[in-house]
Amino acid sequence: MTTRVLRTGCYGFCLALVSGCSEAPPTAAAPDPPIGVSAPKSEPDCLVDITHQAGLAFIHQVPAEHNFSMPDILGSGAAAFDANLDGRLDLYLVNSRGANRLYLQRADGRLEDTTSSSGAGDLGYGMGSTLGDIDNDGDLDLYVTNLGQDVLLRNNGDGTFEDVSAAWGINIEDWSVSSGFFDYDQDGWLDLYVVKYVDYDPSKRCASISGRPDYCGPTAFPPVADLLLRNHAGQRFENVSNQFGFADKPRAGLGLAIADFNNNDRLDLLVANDGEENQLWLHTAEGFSELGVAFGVAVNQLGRTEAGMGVVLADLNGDLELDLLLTHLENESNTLYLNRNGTGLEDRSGGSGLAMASLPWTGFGVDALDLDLDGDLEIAIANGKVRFTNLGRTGAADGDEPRTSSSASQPQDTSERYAEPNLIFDNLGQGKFEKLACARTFTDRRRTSRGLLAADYDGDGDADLLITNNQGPAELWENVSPRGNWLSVRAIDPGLGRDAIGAIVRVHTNESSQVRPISHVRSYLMAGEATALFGLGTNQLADSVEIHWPGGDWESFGVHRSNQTLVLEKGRGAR
Amino acid sequence: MNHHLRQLSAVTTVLFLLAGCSKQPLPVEVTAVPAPSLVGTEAAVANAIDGARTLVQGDLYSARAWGTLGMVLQAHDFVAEAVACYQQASQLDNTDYRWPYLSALTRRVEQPVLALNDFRDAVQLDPDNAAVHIYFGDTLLEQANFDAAERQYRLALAADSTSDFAEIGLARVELLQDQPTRASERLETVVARSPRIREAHTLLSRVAARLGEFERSELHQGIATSIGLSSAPPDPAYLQVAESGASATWASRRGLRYSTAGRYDAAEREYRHLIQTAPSAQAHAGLALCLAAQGQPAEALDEYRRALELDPNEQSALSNLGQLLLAQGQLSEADEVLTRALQVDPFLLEAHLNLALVRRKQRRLEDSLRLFDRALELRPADIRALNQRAQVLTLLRRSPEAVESWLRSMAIDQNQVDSAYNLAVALTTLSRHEEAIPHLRRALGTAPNSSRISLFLAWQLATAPDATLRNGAEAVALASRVRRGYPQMAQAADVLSAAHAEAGDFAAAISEINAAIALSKDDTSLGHRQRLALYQRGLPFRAP
Repeated sequence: MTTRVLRTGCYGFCLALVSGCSEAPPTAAAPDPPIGVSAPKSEPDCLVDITHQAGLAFIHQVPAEHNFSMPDILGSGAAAFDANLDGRLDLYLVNSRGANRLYLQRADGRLEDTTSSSGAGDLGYGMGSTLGDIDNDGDLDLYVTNLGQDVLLRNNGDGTFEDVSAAWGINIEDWSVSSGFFDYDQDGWLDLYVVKYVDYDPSKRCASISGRPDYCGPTAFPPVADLLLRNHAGQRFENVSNQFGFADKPRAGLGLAIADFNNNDRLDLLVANDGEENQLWLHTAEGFSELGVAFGVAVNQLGRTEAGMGVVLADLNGDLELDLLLTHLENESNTLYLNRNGTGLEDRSGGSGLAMASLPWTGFGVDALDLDLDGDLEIAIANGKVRFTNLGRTGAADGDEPRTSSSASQPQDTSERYAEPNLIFDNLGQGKFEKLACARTFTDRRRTSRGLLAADYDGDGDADLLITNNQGPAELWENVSPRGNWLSVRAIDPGLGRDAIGAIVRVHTNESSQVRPISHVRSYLMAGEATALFGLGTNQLADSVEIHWPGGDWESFGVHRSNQTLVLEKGRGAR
Repeated sequence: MNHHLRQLSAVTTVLFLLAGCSKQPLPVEVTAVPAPSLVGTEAAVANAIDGARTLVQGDLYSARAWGTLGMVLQAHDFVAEAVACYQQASQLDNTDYRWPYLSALTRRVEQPVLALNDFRDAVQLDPDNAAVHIYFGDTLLEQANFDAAERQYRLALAADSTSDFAEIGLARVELLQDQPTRASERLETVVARSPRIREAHTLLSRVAARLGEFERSELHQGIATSIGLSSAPPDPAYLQVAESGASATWASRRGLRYSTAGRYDAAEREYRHLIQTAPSAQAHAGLALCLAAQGQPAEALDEYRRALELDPNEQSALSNLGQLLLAQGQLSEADEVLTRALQVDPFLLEAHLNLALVRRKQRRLEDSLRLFDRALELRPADIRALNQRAQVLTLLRRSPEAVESWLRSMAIDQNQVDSAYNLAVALTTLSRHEEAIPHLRRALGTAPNSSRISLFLAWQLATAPDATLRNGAEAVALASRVRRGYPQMAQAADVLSAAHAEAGDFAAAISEINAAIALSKDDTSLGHRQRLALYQRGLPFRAP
């Protein structure tokens, strides 16, 4: 509100005369466009909230709400996979108080909570989950990271699980966050990498700069080293971290991506660290070497360390190389690292459209999806504060003038204080992005979001979105964009009887070529099916599908019609 | 309204009409004084904000009052309210660069375009302020406006030709414009001049990686890690904001900043305030560090004990208490405390270093070396660990390894005088005089008044076995200067005599060596007499 205070008493009359005689006032600068929100447009939404319709009634809970215990602000993750092998995507949601929940999808698309009979309702302080077929029996098993003892749940193939942590030698405590299965030693059995965060001390209390009680940041506690566990013939895991130097380089890790970054046919590990240099563990014949600095991904283009949270691995500039986008704290931009032909990664955030737009927000989960199936990848980002700042409260979500009233800047409800809008960016090609206009309902909603996963929930060929919210309800958003043709590819190694984790799939049409990794890992804290979904635009055919199998073999699978799920087996062709 | 009042009103109206139609300033529109919700804030914060608001309400036309309120609000994260205050201050006084500048800093994240307008106003008002140009440049760089950013960095250099952060900004632009070689050259200049700027090393690490120089890249990353705290260009305006912070968090930050800068009295004040308002183990440990640094070990010990009563695992208390006990010669107590610190956190660098020093003093040299090696595994570029390790290796008579350790240290910071001296000594014991002399010259460049360096360099120039290394005239000049400054120093006379002998002036050499013999209070005169005999035979002295 603006008031006028004049030194004289002749307010109206004098003011009229004065303003009449004065020079024209300088034109006020146009206010900045609001950041992180779509411009008001009349086009229909391309994402529709179907959480309630699908019967998803999961609410993330923490032991003591608003107690400012640091783990309580980091949220939890989820996994989307076919748990009972009925061809439909099921959801596993991790909770920090009470049991994790397993929802099996019925034929009508509704979710049924089968937690009580599933054996998957772990009661630990849950953080995230990852997927992998640890015993090569054709179904996906679950690894759950906790603040406390992690849990390994073996799938019985029918949507029920058995806790095999003890039998498999899983004895991991402290604070695990993201994790991922990959076969580092190429013996056919999926090994496990667990990202560890900090050595949390619950007695420690922190405050904001205004003196309000607030959640501690990672620097309040010592970092903890990540773990590598080797799978011994589908029987047990062995902690081999000390052999490869992981134990000597503790960092406050949060995000994880697994890929062959230097094209030597071995899978490497990218760990997004919170406020410390990111680590890139390159895998060679001699073992793992941490070369984040040399590879250009430890710090951003300004040479600054950032608070890494989530990470997505995808070809974001259409050059058939896998790039990275890392999400960060407010006041730090999200960072786009483009792959330079396997020789390094280079921060090209400036001018990408992704950097400035992310500055006010704290990004966590991030995924790439071809929303309109036109052949390039959009980016969806889950945001939500970890500390109470007034950033992001001056710009209203619907694009109106900045608000300055105290009610706008000081929400009284603690759970609202950390809420922010999520973001979706449209891919303009060549590493350029702009905010997507059609996702207004999605981007207008403010939550303290954490996990984000793109997956074809309804099996219609396009990717939908699953979001987890800290101390809030999980959300399922159906993709209703106008769409092109599509092709979904599974890469199976028949010798192992499971997805070929670490493979790369390329699809060529007469217009373009695309690449996708085969991985279950989605950061932050999420996991999905190892399926590669391609948008083909108006093309009815994929001229060829190529797979680069783990270990180095390339195989071409010829022409395939669009709008189907291809199951391609190494050396055998389409199943 | 009575007659007088009507008259006054009429006069006022006429005056106002005249003022309005002239070029006099218009009455300024004053916004409502921001009143943010202070629910949940610390009492000190609420008091600071209330106090600043009261000042504004006392004089709504005081730019200074509005600006001060803006600073207090900014310090406590009331972003929109702070911007409103700075805008108001700018309207009331459009000559003070601080108001548009702080407005720009405050709104940079959410309103980058408006922030750029503010920056433009600020640089016009104070074109000689390097910090304003640098942050303007940083903001432009974030928006991928490379050319405009470069202009601002160059203007910062025009305002302050020694601005390291302007150079760093230019290097960033060069890196982004695919000119890593130029960026590398620029940053090497910065780190040679100012070796303790973390940002320069981090960026240099990145630049070296781009150039494929991975070893150099790792070296600078290691240095950056060992430096720890980040730096910023000197910025008086933002310093005022930081000083306005009234919360415990701000007091803690200031305490750390002051103690890191060696301003222990200021840090002590902050920690004492913190202990009053929000007592914690860290606050007591911080106070203890300040007291120890100011020569109050007993009081410091008390504070460490209080810290450990509050939190027996407080790492900085354990590590710094160990350091204090070590300094007091209480080696077994120090050993116990530091061992405990490493049990709490096996990655604690300071505890490794201090425990290594304890073991060295206990003559447990192999243990000491192992701890220094572990410290270097944690921070490969830690200069203290490298230097101390070299000294332990010297004690273990492993001079080649000691030299290697000092060389690594000097590669990180070539301006170290003590390490250069120690390295030169170690090199000469290995008869590597040709390597020792450049290190001594560089050290003398850093510390031109150092008698120790001057004499050792003069000695090398006078006595080195290799004739190409000797320079009698330069040796005489160096030694004469020290001799004049320290007429009672036998060593200065001895070195000067050797220098004269090398220069062929044996009469002067004999005179000086006799002076050295007269000044000597120990058995070094035996060496002097041997040299006297040489000079009397017209022979100079040669190092073995």
